[in-house]
Amino acid sequence: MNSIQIQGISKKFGSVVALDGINLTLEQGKIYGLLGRNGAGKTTLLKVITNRIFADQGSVTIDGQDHRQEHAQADIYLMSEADMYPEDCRLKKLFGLMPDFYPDFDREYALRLAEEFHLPLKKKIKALSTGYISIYKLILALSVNTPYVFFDEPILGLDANHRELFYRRLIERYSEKPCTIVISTHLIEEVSGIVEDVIIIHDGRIIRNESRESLLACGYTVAGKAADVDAFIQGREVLGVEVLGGLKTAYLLGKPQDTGVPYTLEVSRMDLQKLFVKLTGDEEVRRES
Amino acid sequence: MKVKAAVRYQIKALRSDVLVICLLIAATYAAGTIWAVVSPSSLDEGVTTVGGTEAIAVIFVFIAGIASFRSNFLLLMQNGLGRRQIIKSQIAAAAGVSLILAVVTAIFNEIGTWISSHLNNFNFTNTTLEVYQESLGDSGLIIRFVFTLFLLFVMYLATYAFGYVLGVFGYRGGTPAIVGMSVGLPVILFILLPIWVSFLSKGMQDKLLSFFLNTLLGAGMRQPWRGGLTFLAAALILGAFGAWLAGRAQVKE
Repeated sequence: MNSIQIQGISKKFGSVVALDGINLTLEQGKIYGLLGRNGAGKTTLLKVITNRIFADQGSVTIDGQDHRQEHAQADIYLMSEADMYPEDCRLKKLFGLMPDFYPDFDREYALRLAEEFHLPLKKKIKALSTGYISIYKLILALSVNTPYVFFDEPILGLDANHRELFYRRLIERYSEKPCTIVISTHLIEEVSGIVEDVIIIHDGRIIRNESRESLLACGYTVAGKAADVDAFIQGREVLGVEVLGGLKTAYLLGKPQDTGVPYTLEVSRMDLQKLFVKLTGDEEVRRES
Repeated sequence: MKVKAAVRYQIKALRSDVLVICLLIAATYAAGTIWAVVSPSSLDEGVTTVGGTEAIAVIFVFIAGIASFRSNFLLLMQNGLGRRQIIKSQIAAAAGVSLILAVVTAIFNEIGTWISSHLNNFNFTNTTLEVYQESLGDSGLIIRFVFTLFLLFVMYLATYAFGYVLGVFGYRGGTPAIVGMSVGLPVILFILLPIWVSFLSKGMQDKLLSFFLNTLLGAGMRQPWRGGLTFLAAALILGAFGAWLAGRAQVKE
């Protein structure tokens, strides 16, 4: 079966548990959002999958092959925050080098993207700004055409226009050549319209792994006068509340149609960012065992 | 395919540096020859000898070995190579660079020998001939060239492997390892070793030197192949150790 299977992966850095028994399957042809707070274990998980660091326990298989085997990593490309390319290398040379390592690397497409993003190809990597460092890495990731492409904080330092352009090109590329894409990011609202499945990782453990639709359907918000809201949420599973003046907003688990919401309260769908914040807040963490 | 690409990339990355070293060796021979021809009067008092150009290449491969691990490891990991593939490519690249430099220095050694035979007051020599003068002095050009090529190749390879081990060790050990090596090696070489030789060795250094020259290099025993085998063994042992260290290296950011 074409997928990445992660079983029982644990990783410690000294006394800090970065990953704690992660089980996960990344199926082909899907866009995943890997969400988590700072230090939750997102980057560590991606680095373990790509064999950049070793897990203490567990196994990773890529299309049925152990990820440590010689050719297993050829199907994966990880665009990471880390600077893995020599800083003295000029971008033009780097773009010319990529087809040697990735036979399906689309150089023409990469050059077109470079033009769109106004990437200065004659410059050395060390001479680029933070934004352009992200851009050249994004372009490489969009052009490699591997079955699995992982983005770790892809939009670091990008302005709104470039972010918009990246999302558009990502969707276009995915439509033309479907592959498995994992986007690890903090900008949840920006990717919420793109991702199909959401994986939420908290303190090294996966607390949610389901489709975006089913995740968003698991909760709702009610807003209104504080007294009405308080009365309504009695005995219900509340993720959190926010108070603004005399108005109160409550975030609840469950479906609104099943719960008979009074007409004095306004019901709305939970957005992904709010749900994430509530799920990973220090006191409201709910873990799936 | 990826391994081939990785080898090509690593050799290409050293191309200009190797070229500079080759030019430096060529310049040494050219300068010596021109000096001997243009100003023979300055050399009247006897035969002037110039040699040891292999040392230029040895220093270069040592530094190349130290520098070769980190940046290539990161780039090749990023480009989807497994650790075994990376190690294979680094061994092949080291062998390629060592062979290129061995060919260049062996050719220049022969050119130097030929030039020396036409000049009365000037002599180009090389380490191989000096160490194995008794064994190789009368041998023909082809035997001498092949032996020199082999010896230089394994010597460069062993030196590269030594640098590589230090490079991987420094990468894996981080700042404490780098500081330890930067301070420790000079302390051993320039403080402890002279103290030992001067006050504590009780003639042991002569025995060690004799063991190195005769038993390991086979110089006094008319067994020049011993030197080749010694350097080959050193290259294999150091290479295996370097590969073992590299195979367990994790990406640090």
